[in-house]
Amino acid sequence: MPYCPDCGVEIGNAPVCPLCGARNPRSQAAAESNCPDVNESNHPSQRQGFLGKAAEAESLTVFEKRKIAWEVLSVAFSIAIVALSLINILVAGKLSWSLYPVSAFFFVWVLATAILIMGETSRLRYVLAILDVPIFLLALGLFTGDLSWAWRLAVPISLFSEIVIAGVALSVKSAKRQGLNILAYILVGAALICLGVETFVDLFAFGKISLGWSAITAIALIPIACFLIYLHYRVAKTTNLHRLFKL
Amino acid sequence: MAIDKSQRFIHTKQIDESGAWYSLDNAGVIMPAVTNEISSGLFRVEVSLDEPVDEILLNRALADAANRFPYFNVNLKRGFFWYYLDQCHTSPQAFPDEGSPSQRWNINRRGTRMFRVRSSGNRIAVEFSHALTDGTGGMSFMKTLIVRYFALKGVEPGATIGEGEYSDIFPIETQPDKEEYEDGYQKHFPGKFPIPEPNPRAWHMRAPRLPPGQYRVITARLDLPAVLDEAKKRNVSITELLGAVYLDALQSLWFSESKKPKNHFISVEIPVNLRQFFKTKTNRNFSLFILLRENMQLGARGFDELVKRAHYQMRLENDPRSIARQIARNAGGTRNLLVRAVPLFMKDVAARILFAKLGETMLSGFISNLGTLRLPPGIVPHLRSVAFIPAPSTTTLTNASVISWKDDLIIAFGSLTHSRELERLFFRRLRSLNLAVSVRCRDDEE
Repeated sequence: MPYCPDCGVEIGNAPVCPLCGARNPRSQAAAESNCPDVNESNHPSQRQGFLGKAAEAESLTVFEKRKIAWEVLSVAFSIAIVALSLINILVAGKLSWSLYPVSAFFFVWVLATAILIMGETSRLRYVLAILDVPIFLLALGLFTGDLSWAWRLAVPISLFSEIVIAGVALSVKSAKRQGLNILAYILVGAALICLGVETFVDLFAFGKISLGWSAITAIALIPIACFLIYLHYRVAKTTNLHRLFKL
Repeated sequence: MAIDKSQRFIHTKQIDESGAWYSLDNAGVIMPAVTNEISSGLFRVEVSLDEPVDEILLNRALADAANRFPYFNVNLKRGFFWYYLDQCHTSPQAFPDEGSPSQRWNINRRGTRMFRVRSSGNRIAVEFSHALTDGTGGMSFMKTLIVRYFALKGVEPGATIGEGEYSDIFPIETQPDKEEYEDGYQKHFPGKFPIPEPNPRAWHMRAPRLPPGQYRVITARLDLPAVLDEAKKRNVSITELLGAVYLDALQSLWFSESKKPKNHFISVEIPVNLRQFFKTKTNRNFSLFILLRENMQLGARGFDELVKRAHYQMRLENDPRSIARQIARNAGGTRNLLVRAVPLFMKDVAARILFAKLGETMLSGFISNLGTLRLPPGIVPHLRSVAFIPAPSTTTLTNASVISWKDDLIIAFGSLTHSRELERLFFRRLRSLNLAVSVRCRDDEE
């Protein structure tokens, strides 16, 4: 059988070697080699040095990574809080404007602690996450010297929003078949939050409720949500639309 | 059909008044977004018979096989959240095997099946989309088709099919078991496992591309016992040996670059059949991969060193727990409600980004070893040769796959580039080990 003189592989009746293109010696005795020599001596320089770095990434579990992220965040925030407080005392002789960024750092830190450090089944995690926003808003009210906007407007809106979001999350979790109904729950949640925001703003500003923009938003969203619920529980269940909207 | 909530991710089949439809498995779910007519995602298994193929009998056998594998006789449809596979109500027909393999077949085109059977002269080939199945599933279909074809010609298999050594060859009168189309990744989802460490970007060969629609295949035949002896001599498996040969070829290409490449890792992907670790009868995708990686900043390594390192890298990673981390990441993603609720057009964009990040950018090439092809003794004398051809890739350009048949080890390189340098280096290394190599390129001969 004919062999490629350069590659040394058997090439059958092919006119040229499939690998290097050299002519089949059976068809032309004086085959020209266009197969450059390839062996280890081609790269003498590369074989000498061993100065490259090989920094292998440390193998960490998800929790370990989270813990490191939390620790880095804690140290960075501590440095920032100390620096801001010292500058504020140095310039103004007391803690004044620095209280706002410092309270914001505390807010983010508490949230990070709840999410990164506490277990998913820990009740304290959810209590901290829920109370973090209202407490931050109250703190801001305290620093501005007027607690009323925080107590009567910001805290009710944040608590109401959290309750609605929790309700949507529970509905999603308990849905036996998930599909367009999830989108519907989210739309209903958005409509409720809009209504809640305008209600609390009205009560705070005018002492009475007079729904305007939020009612229009809700009127637009709720029928869409109802249509999606109808599609999900009635149409998609009994026709092949289920395959189209399978989540 | 009501499905138990805990089983919802595992069972892929559902039936409504329009008929059956299937979800894509966890590996296939990303493929529609990243495949096109060139990077078709089609791998190919082909056999050459001892006589010209009878087209009429082949089509009858194909209809029977498609009927036995209804979960393969499907085409791709777009849902609002996910792609799904719609049952075809007609039998597939064999196409002429002209032009390049695995090209000009886009599963995203309406009404296109997820596989095609081609034949020409003595040759029968099956090309399967990786969105549907892996090499094991594709091979099971191919074997069933061949056995059925010969049964229609009056050739008895000479052994009981559907059990024992031939359990993956299905008698066409049997009904498919629901485990055959289950999602193995979801069945063996390990829960909260740490995700695998990220892989660095790998160097890719840069070379002029072949014209669109051309995919060159260079096939080499080696003596299987001789290769086995060489591997045993080095206390490694054939896959490890070939993986090291591949790394050696890539290493030579890396150092031959005129300008030092930015990406200093060369990396070879070795697909792993998960059926060896996790019990399932699935014929859908159920494979993952191990990466053999070398840092070129450390300088070129000798071949013996590469073999040893490939061996140890394989041994470290080829265990159920390491593999389970990949399953946890991939299957966990598609279980996540937030991911599920994203509309498909947005998922397509995300899939392309993910595929670029976690897919082919981290490998310089792959070599997939399908193992030994076992056919019943009555069929074996009627087959001249077999080949397993990898799916084309526009990122790595050239890839390889391996199959063993009788006393032959057949290695096929599929390439979208004019350059044959990788193949040349690969086979020259095998020659330097005193292994006889017989090479063919159909493009040169036709």
